[in-house]
Amino acid sequence: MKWKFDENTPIYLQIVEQIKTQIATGQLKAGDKLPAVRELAVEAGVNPNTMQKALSQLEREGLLYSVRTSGRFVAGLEEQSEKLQNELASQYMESFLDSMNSLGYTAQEAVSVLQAHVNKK
Amino acid sequence: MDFLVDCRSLKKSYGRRPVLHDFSLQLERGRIIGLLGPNGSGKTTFIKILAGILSKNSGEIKISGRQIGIESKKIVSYLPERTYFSPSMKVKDTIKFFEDFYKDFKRERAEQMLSGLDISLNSKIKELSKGTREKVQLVLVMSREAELYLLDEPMGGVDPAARDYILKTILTNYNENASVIISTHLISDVEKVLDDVVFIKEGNVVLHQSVDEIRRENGMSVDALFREVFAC
Amino acid sequence: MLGKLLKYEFKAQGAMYLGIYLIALLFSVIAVASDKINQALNGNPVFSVMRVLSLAAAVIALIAIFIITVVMCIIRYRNNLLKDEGYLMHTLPVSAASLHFSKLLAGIIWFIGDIAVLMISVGILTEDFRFTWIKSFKVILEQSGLKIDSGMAFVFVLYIVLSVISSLSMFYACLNLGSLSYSSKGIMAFVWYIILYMVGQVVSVIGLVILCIVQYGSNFAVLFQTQTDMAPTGFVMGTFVTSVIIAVILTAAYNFASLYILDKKLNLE
Repeated sequence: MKWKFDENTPIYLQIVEQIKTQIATGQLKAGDKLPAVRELAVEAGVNPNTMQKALSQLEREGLLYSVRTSGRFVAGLEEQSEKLQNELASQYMESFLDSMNSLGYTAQEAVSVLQAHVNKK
Repeated sequence: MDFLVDCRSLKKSYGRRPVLHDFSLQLERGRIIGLLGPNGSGKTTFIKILAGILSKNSGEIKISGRQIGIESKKIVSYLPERTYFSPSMKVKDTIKFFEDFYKDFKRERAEQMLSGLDISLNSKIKELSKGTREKVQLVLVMSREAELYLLDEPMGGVDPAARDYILKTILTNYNENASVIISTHLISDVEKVLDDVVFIKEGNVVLHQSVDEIRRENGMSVDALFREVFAC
Repeated sequence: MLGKLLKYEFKAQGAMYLGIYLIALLFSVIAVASDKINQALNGNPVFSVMRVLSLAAAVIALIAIFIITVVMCIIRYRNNLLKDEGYLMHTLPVSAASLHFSKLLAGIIWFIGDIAVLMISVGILTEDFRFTWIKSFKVILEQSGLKIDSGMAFVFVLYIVLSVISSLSMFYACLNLGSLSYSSKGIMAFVWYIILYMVGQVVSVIGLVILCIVQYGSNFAVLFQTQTDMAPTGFVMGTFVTSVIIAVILTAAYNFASLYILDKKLNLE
């Protein structure tokens, strides 16, 4: 798993995002077992406490669950996955509209440009 | 609250030059802490006092409830910025040395790390390059099951791949009972690995926060904040 | 812990001492062998030259052993406790006293080794392992009126050992006192050597004067007479005892200073 971190937001939040993306894109499937916190931390090059914080958050949000002696697993609810995809999708859309806005396009104009772009493909 | 390092109103002067003023700091177990500050701010002085090779002028300092002395040295593993082995010693002699004097030294761990680095146990310290020597010392220091690890500029003068190795070693040896204090200039390299940072300016603690909090409150990395706080 | 530290002293310096000991012994053996061969050949130029040269080499080697011992003790102490290696040694879970005394003890042991090699070499060169020359030495001393018994000889040996301990302790104290300076540790060590040497001399003179007053009371003008039947043995013994006491006091002072500095005033660069 390739980890990329930017400098300005808390690392644990970035970890949460990246794992959510992995789940949404299917790289992490329902029932997959995650490596131990320590191993994940070393792999990502981050502090173990930070990794732990991120994983706990994901557990709280219901995306991961832990089994006492076995470890952490990706939760398998369909709605969960769908919800994640929707969440991420609207984030990407927001991002697109913000960027287009900064170029001077209104939301409507941005939609037209996008439609034209898609038609060309 | 049971602090691993409890330091109150520490004062230290070199002759007439004061280096640590009213230095107070409490550190918990299970944390990787960055000690950041410009040259001459007192970082190395503080670490030397913790290591027991420099005595304070006044103030209180305890490590795991113990006074600085033989008892604290048993649980503190110190990596200074210099080669501290006799140049004629072989790597395997250094292992034997640590084994002889430190009950918490784990030989297999050291041997494993050294073989992973392709360092022959029969090489003499003086035959190794500076970077390799530093790695050997790091391996020995991290092969102890200490309660406090003091790493003074562990990555200075070492190539980026070696820096990654050092950080990876620190993470792999992490245990919740111990803490690691890393004093460094190379903040951006080290930031992701730190739990907390302490900014030291002119012998005083000016900031002590977790990396997450700093990023959240300031919207910038610790490296960027450092440049602001210590701008010339 | 002291034992372990001693072990590392021997590991660090053993090879060197073994080397110089062997060289000295070797030259001694060659000198005697050359002499024998020379005699057997009734005066061979090669061997008579070899005999002289190797004898000279043996003597030089034996003297060098003592000089090297002193120099190496000082260098070892400084490098291992007061320079970069100090970062390792002073973070070991051992007392500063153990670190200091391991060096002192090692120095004494090396010195005893030096003496042993000296005796063996002399034995080889004189082809006399019963050391009969000591007896002649004793006879000469006794002729000046001194009574010498084995007790005195033993005390004399002890005094030599005490002198070694005292000298080493003084050198170590100079190193430690010098290390207190921030900029010129080496130079200050020399300065302290001069200071301590002069202090030592002054203390010795005062001690001897006290001895004279105690021993002769208001009569001490008697010392300036050349004809006297004051028993020399008593005076020699008195001087001797006083010297011992002074040496012990000074040695204790040197060591206290070293221990205090090593423990409380350590300042590695």
